[in-house]
Amino acid sequence: MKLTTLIASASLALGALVTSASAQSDYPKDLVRIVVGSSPGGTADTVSRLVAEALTKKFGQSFVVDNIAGAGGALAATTVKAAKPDGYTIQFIFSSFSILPSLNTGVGYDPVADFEPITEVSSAPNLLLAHPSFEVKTLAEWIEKVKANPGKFDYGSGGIGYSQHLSMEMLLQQIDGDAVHIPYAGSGALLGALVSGEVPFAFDTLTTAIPHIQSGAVIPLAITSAERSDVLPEVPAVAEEVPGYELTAWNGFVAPKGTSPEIIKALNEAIVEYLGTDQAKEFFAKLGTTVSGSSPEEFGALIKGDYEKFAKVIEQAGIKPE
Amino acid sequence: MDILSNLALGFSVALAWQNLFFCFVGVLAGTLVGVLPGVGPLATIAILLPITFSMQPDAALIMLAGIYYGAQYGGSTTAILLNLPGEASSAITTLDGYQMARRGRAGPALAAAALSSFFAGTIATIIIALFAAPLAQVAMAFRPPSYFSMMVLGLIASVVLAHGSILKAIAMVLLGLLLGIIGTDIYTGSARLNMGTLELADGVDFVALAIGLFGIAEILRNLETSETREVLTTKVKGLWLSVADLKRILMPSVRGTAIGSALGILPGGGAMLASFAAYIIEKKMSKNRSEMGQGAIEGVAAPESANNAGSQTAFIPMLTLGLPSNAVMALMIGAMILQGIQPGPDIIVKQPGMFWGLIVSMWIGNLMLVLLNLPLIGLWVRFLTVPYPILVVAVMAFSAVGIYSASGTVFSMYELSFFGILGYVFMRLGCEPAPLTLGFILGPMMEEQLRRSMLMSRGDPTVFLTEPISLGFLIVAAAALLLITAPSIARKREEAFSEES
Repeated sequence: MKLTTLIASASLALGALVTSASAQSDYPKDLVRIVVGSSPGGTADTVSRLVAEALTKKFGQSFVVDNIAGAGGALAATTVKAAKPDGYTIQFIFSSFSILPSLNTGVGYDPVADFEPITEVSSAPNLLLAHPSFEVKTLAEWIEKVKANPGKFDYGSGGIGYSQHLSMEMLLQQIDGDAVHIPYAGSGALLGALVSGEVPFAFDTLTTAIPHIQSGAVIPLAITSAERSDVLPEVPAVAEEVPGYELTAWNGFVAPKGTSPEIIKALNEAIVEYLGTDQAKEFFAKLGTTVSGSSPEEFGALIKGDYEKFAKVIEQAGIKPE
Repeated sequence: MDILSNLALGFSVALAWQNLFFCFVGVLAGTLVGVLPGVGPLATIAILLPITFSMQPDAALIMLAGIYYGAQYGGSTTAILLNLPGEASSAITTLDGYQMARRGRAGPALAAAALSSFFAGTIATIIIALFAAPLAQVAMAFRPPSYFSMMVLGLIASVVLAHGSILKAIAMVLLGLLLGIIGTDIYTGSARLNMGTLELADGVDFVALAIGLFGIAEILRNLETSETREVLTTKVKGLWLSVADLKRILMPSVRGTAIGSALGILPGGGAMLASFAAYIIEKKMSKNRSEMGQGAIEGVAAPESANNAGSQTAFIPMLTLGLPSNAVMALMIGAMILQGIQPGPDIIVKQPGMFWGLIVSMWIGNLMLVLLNLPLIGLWVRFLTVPYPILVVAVMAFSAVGIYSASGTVFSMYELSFFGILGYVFMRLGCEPAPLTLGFILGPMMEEQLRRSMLMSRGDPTVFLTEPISLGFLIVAAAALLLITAPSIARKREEAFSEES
């Protein structure tokens, strides 16, 4: 170990002396840690591992996934925020990254001020699903029924502040309706509650919902993306009934604030290149998500836009921990 | 017979050489992670998931399933030998298993664990093959009030776990409930009792708690004096089960399998609750109940058969409805999706080969596990002859590495140390950790279901009485409470009368 460090520092010193090679050309010289704020397994972890593998091949240095689960991903974010901005610690984030700080001021990070965006990786819409016993077939019928019975119906989510929860709060606010939020411990439990009719309706991700739509266990009413999806072209976008409504769950990479633009650029190019491969496209298609490599600026705008949008929704819905 | 042709199809898939091979790889990996404290099947499956992308869907699922139920076999090994629960679901096995080992009966304890697990695995496989679809419907009929009332019954029954003072047991259950409150309230998002740390936002790490309270505490106790290291000095008497032993484990295995199969189907609880429930029932029903806690072989057979049956019937909601009943099943669903298979109600129709192949492979896997584990018993027992200073260091290091690898935070090391020392203090005070552990598991589930029931009923508590399943559990709970208190009331009266005369 010592010898390699010595060689590395010697070559670094030499490099600085002899040539003025850009930081990018000799990055990475060492193992790069990808912090993921969820337990091993699950989509986020799997996606990060695939990207890590691709980056390892591309750069010839190990990119290692480090799962720091806890506090809905906040623990990972504070770890990365405190890490040296040298490109050797980056984070794989998902939508909750820009939601958590508005839910709980104690999380200890600012999604915009404390990080450098690298790129978005993929995104997926949610579906508004109803149990057949609720007896609505379209979004218009649903809106009518919910508005006529304020506070009478329950709706489920995978947890407080999850995109399934905020999708519903946003919709209820826009149609001026009211329903009681029943949070479940994760998306799997929510799906069970929805299929058994324990809750009459809820938003859930497209991928997990499809088999249950096909079997007729749940009825899809609308999709949260601005446009209809190719996977379920007969399901209208919420925006067709409620103009301006849009919400997608996304994921992507960020680095601690102050990471050099050269390193950000190198990582961005490598990840976007991988996302363009057939292997990546096939993988994300199976997950039912859209590959969406973007520029650091675009991803930064997405994080900031969501941060502001959800801060408003959360404030208006009065979701605040005591 | 439909079932015969289905099973024939299953055998043809499961006996394909590559599926046999991956089944073996799975159960072997499962046994290993089961033996290693801290490293669970969840983390193992997660890490192996990317490898399965390039495999055939049948082989991938057969292997992942093998890891899951294989871990239930391995988990009992360290529980018996070192009082160190290798898996959360084998925490209760330490009670009698370790006592058996201290009496030089580590071999029979390990053999009982393996054989009762195999028995449970076989029965559970048959249950899945015959009744998967109707059982899944039963699970769906469970609503929040029913869950809550079931937990009430569990909590009342947990007092039975004490073999010392009932008062101390109740105190430990309550302490477990309090420890379970730590973490984020899922209904409001508020962090409770986390002392301002993000690390405690998801609550106390159960694995660190169990390994600390049972395993580390026992090591600390052993370090007190050199003479008390009985595990290592007592001559190991016989490795195999006698006919009398076999007779003694039969009924506990049957009861354990029944409870495990029933609880496994229900979301959330699964194998862990099943092992506790089976032990509690054995302590009430067994002919040798007076020996329980002091090295009764029933106390090994019952929980081990229950956790193995539970881990297998947990597949029912996933296979028949596409709904995960725990985190491992959610991962399996993820694995299917990545293989291009949509798990859902029509999977039996669309993928009959995979469905029946997986079921048959479970039985084959169980057979492999018992063949793998029985010869290993001699080897495991020999571990006890390793000089104690070396063994202690190795066990501590493995526990720490295992827990750290799952959590990835230094904080989990503090938790492990804290619960190790706490467990030692409890031991000196004569307080048993098992009731605390059950309180810790039941508490958060109970609270979740209670508050969900109340939210849905808009604050009307009568839902617990109007829902039939819930009412049934409450009646049984009331009866159990009477049964527990009646003898002590009678005894008190006896004492009172004897004083008078």
